[in-house]
Amino acid sequence: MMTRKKVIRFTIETLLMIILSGALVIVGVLLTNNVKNDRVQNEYRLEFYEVLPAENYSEVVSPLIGRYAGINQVFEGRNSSGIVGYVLSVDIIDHDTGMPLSLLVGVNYHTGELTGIKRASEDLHQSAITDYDIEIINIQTMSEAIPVALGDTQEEALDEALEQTRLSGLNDGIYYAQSLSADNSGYIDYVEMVIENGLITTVQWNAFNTDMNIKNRRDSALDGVYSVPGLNWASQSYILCHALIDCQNPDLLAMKSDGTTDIIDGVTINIRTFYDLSVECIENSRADFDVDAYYGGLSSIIEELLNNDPATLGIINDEGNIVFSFTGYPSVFLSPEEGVGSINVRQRVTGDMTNYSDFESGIQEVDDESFVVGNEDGVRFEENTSNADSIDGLPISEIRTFIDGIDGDEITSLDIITAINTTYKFLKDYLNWMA
Amino acid sequence: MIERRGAPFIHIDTSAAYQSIARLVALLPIIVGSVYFNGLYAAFLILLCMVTFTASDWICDSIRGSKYVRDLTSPYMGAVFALLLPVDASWIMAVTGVLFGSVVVKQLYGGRGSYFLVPAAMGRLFVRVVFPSIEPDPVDLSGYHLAELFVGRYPSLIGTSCALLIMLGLIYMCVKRVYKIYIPATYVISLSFLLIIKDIVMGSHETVFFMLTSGVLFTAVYLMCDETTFISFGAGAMLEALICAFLTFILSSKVTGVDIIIIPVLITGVFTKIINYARYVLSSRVEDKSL
Repeated sequence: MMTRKKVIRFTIETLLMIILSGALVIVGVLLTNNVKNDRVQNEYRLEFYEVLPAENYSEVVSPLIGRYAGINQVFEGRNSSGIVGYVLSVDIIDHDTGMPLSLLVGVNYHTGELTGIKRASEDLHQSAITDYDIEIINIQTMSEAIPVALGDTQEEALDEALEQTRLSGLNDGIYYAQSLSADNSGYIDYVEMVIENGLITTVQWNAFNTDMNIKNRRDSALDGVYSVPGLNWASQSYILCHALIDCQNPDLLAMKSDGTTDIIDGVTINIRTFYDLSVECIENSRADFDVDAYYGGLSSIIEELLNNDPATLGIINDEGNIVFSFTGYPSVFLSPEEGVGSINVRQRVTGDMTNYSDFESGIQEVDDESFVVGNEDGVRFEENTSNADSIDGLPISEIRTFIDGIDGDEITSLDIITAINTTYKFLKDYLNWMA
Repeated sequence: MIERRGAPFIHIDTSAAYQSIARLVALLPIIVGSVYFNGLYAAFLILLCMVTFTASDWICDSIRGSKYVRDLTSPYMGAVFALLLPVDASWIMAVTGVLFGSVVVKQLYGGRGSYFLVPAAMGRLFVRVVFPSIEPDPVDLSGYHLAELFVGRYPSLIGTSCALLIMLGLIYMCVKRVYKIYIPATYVISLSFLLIIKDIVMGSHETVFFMLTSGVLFTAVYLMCDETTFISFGAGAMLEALICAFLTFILSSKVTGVDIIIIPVLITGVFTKIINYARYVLSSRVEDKSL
């Protein structure tokens, strides 16, 4: 029979056993941490070094991983100087056989270039895609920027899509425009646009603050300091810039009278400033007034106003922007012509009042029926007018590398490319890759 | 005619209730370790199996009209069963195995003190057969350091991995005098001996690795201590440990996973019945001669 004394004794022993067991487990774990880490790193190196050489690897834990179909695991490769890149374990379907294939895709963190692709060790070899097929794509994409598409078919589609939306009269170069007055938060917006072969290829929308100790708006948004409803400002800016690259025409962003747009998923912010600055950049391009001319003109206006150049005034920030708001000088940009209103930097400097903003007449070969011009506001265009040809859900304009693929086996090539582009889509989201 | 038997009134401190509590306390280290390494779901499975096994035994005893013995052998057996499950086993699998072990293996053979196969092991074998998909794929542990294996930092069943904690449980049972150290010692030493000979013949070095990763230490400490199916002391206990070790050795090159833990124990349970019968017959003859 159990006596009270025995019950108490067992209770104490139970507690002691739990404590002792917990202590032993913790001590054991602590003592074997280094051993385990070495083993894990050796396993990782064995698996990943071929696709991303790095000193050590660690698994990335992010809720984003679950949102991208096909991505199993993500690993971050590091060396003594910091992040080297990422290795993603991606499952794709071999459309020839309908069987899965597990691939490892390595991407350089700094350049966004592919560092390697190979079959994952956990692949069950059910797919008909051979290591030789993978190696062909690997050779063609190694050290090339992602995303990737097959060249023979997609380049034609790209040319076709771009021809449809190309604005006339654009001169190649880098063009720039910034707001002449700061907003309530002290930010001065700017848009920088790169035009190549008559096409808008890069657009960047950001804002610097009149308080030069405050980070630019994109960095502040990424830090969580600057917040807007919906996606963070940096992501919305990125999406908007890409939307403009896709459609090549600010009017097709369908900005409504309240400054918002309904047609770009994820963009809820007021885009009026972006629209105005984009238009100004395009006008500057048509007038061949590039970024250097813009900065020179802006400097001369400030010098004329304050009798000192911006450098002397100390109003050039680390990024080279001229940090000056004309809020207190409303007359500087008043048009000399009555009824015209305000003018911009180019007009102020060159005196050229030519109208360069006739966008609609510049659109070539666009089927007018596909556009619905609203009676009120928000010019709507048919879904994906310029995105009709996309690769793995990415607009052609976003494709950075075109490859030949496997000779005579387009399906296999596209399957492997899908793994690369899935990697790109995840990293774009995860790293907030900007234009 | 007068039939002479051993005295039924020998008093010892270690009553059935005392022993069952001590064994359950001896399970605590491995339970703590399994929860630490496998998460709270392991705790849930262990608790579920303990409660289900106890409830099932209580209901069966009530139906049979026999008095339910208030010791902790039922939760002990439930916990041992849970510790033999894979980490991702569903609660349905756990309950199925427990009910099979409790009702079919234990209660149908007379209940407490009468069954001849370890209910936890038999329940686990049942789950293994009914839910074959439950068994985890073999994991290549060749890259693991021995220290990791000793601490239990490798993929395994819920409670069979940590040699360190199993040894703590064994020490506790021996200190509480509910388990004779020479039983697991005979098993482990004889099995190791056989494996070393095999290593020498085959030119391999797998003895230590096998002893740490196969779950045989769990067998030696937590399954072979069941005094209903195993002889708990003396030469008979050592003999059954030798038989179990030999069976484990034979099976080591033929089966993997949980089979290596449960099958030798179940077969030895049958041998034990034969040994017990032989002992009974032998002692009866000795008593008859002495009359």
